[in-house]
Amino acid sequence: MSGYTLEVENLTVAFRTELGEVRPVEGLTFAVKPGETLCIVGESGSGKTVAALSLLRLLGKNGGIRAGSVRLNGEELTRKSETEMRSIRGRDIAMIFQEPMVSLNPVFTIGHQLTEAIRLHTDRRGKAAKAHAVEMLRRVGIPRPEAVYGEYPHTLSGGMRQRAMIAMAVACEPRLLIADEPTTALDVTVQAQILELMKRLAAGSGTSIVLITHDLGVVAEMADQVAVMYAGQIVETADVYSLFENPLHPYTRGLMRSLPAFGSEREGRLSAIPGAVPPLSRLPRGCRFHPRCPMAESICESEEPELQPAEVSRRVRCWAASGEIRRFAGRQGG
Amino acid sequence: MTVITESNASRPLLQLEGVKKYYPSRKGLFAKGRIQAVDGVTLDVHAGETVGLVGESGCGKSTLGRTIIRLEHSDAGRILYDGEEITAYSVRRMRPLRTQMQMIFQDPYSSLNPRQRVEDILAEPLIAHGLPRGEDARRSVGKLLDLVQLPRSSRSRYPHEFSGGQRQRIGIARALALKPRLIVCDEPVSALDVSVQAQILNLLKDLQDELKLTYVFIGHGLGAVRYISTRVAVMYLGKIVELGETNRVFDAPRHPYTSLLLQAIPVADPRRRLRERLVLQGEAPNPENPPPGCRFHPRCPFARERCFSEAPSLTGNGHAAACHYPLG
Ligand SMILES: Nc1ncnc2c1ncn2[C@@H]1O[C@H](COP(=O)(O)OP(=O)(O)OP(=O)(O)O)[C@@H](O)[C@H]1O
Ligand SMILES: Nc1ncnc2c1ncn2[C@@H]1O[C@H](COP(=O)(O)OP(=O)(O)OP(=O)(O)O)[C@@H](O)[C@H]1O
Ligand code: SF4
Ligand SMILES: [Mg+2]
Ligand SMILES: [Mg+2]
Repeated sequence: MSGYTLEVENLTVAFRTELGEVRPVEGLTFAVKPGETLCIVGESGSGKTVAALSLLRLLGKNGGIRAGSVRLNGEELTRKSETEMRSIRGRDIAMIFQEPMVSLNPVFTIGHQLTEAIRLHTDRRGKAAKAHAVEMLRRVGIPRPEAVYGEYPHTLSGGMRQRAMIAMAVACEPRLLIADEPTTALDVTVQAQILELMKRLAAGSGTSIVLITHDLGVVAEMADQVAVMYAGQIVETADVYSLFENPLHPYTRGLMRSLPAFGSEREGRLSAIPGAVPPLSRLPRGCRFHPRCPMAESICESEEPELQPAEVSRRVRCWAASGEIRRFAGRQGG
Repeated sequence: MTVITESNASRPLLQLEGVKKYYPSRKGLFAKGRIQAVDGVTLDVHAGETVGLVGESGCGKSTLGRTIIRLEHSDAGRILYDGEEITAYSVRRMRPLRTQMQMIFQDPYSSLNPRQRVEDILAEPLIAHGLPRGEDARRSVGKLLDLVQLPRSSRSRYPHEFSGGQRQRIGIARALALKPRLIVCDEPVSALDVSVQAQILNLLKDLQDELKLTYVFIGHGLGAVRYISTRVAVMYLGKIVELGETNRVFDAPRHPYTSLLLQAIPVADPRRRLRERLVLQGEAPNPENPPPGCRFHPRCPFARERCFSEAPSLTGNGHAAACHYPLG
């Protein structure tokens, strides 16, 4: 056994569109151990959701995995049949979707949907299943959980729905939880409760978590490992401490600098990354980040950098950063 | 009571005294419930400053924002703009003042007409107020685009052709068209990526300096609020529970709710993740039926006997808190 819950290698996803084929995710490689949390960060449109959906093979009619491999506890998922995938979803892999209404069925009560999932994926039955469902609602901070158990999704506020969905995802103690911006729509106080719950799940049940967010604060609170995505590719991976201490990729550096530091004064300006993420149909040649990059060299305009090992257990996709590292290593060597 | 900082003792641009806004609740045919969305807010906003408005979802920030600039009628209290009481002004009497108060929204996309070109979006408020037409309007549109740092070629394009950050620039340009003095910014950067948030926050600040604007800035990203605000008002269930200079409120909160809110913010530094902190429990109570006494008492870790029955008022000079047992 590899010792990893999830191993993703060179994963490329393609969609057919009117304008031809687009590849919102290209060459993704990462791995997550039991009980570990990997955070995927990146700007809107960088391919985070598509990457998550592809792990579950939920890409719809126009999309598909073009290349690469996804292994859950060593088992290849890309070649499983749809029937096999269906039993894996919910039991082994649970997902919290960015849009909560998608995964709650409007015609069944919250409680019905929760106990269904619990019965289907655990050995709890009858009263035990119901008790577990109510307990999960309580744990995600839903007030009056017994009453909410009997209510329909439309009677809940957006934040409550999101929490009900989180309860459903974590109720079956999946091996892998994929959470796509689970708290972005919630208040910071509710967010703190939910993040706490996810931490306990990882520590208690050994669930591996892939947490998608664009909030670097959430990353700092939750992640063991971090993958930074830009325009469909991972541009940097590192353990969370190294990443915040010493971001290597100019894009990661830009993200960190544009954060209104919480302790900062009103004076002064925020340092913003100029421009925006390029559309998939017009990806620049060379490094995809070069038009916005303050460190760009001439090679960046013509040749695409690879994700290179940097320090121990870190990798970075950048000509300038790799060059910096080599020069530094050279000086150290003599 | 009114809080006045020494530096700004002159007449405020905007004065709110005990402003209330209730909505009928849609419970049932005969239920006489009402949602106390804003329940007795007293606040001065001085020319040139930015007052940040924070608090959890549903506490009444947007309602207060709309009521301030009379996009909604208030149900009680007084609103004074530049010393003039406008509380009961009709739409017609508000008209000349309309140009001076504008609003910027969270979702620039849904607030822009998808079938209008940028130039029409920007010229519309001018025309509606009988301001320049034709060549003059064209020139104004060009100037507005310059102000928000969009290329002039944007004028003939449609909203969907722009990124989220660019659309927010269009929204800002539209709000600036009538040369307002006061702008209520309702979560203007919440839907944007951090890197783009920084661009828009910088822009808002530059515009403020250049055009001497006054902002009321609603936000749930407390980093952004801290960055842009001179003073901050913290709301809980329709009331202001803390008000003071930004740094004082953020560094030494006096109200227990503010303190718990600040402790809940994830800090972008993994070395601090194991810090001791209190987590606020439960959800905000129902604004149709707020708790008696201090509205925060059911969730307050410091609540005592007195808090259950007696509502605290907003007191304290310069840095005010509505709490019987303030911190610090
Ligand atoms: N079904 C689809 N067909 C074609 N293109 C798609 C499809 N779904 C997503 N895309 C494109 O893939 C890219 C990545 O989208 P994705 O939703 O993964 O971004 P994201 O990183 O999750 O962004 P956000 O932070 O806004 O959620 C986008 O350019 C998007 O337009
Ligand atoms: N037009 C309306 N009709 C009825 N109730 C309303 C209306 N607008 C707001 N409310 C209610 O008033 C209360 C305050 O809402 P408001 O939108 O002002 O909160 P908010 O602080 O802006 O929240 P958020 O952070 O979610 O935007 C809520 O209970 C809301 O449901
Ligand atoms: S008045 Fe009492 S209940 Fe309210 S915040 Fe202060 S201590 Fe807590
Ligand atoms: Mg997404
Ligand atoms: Mg609002």
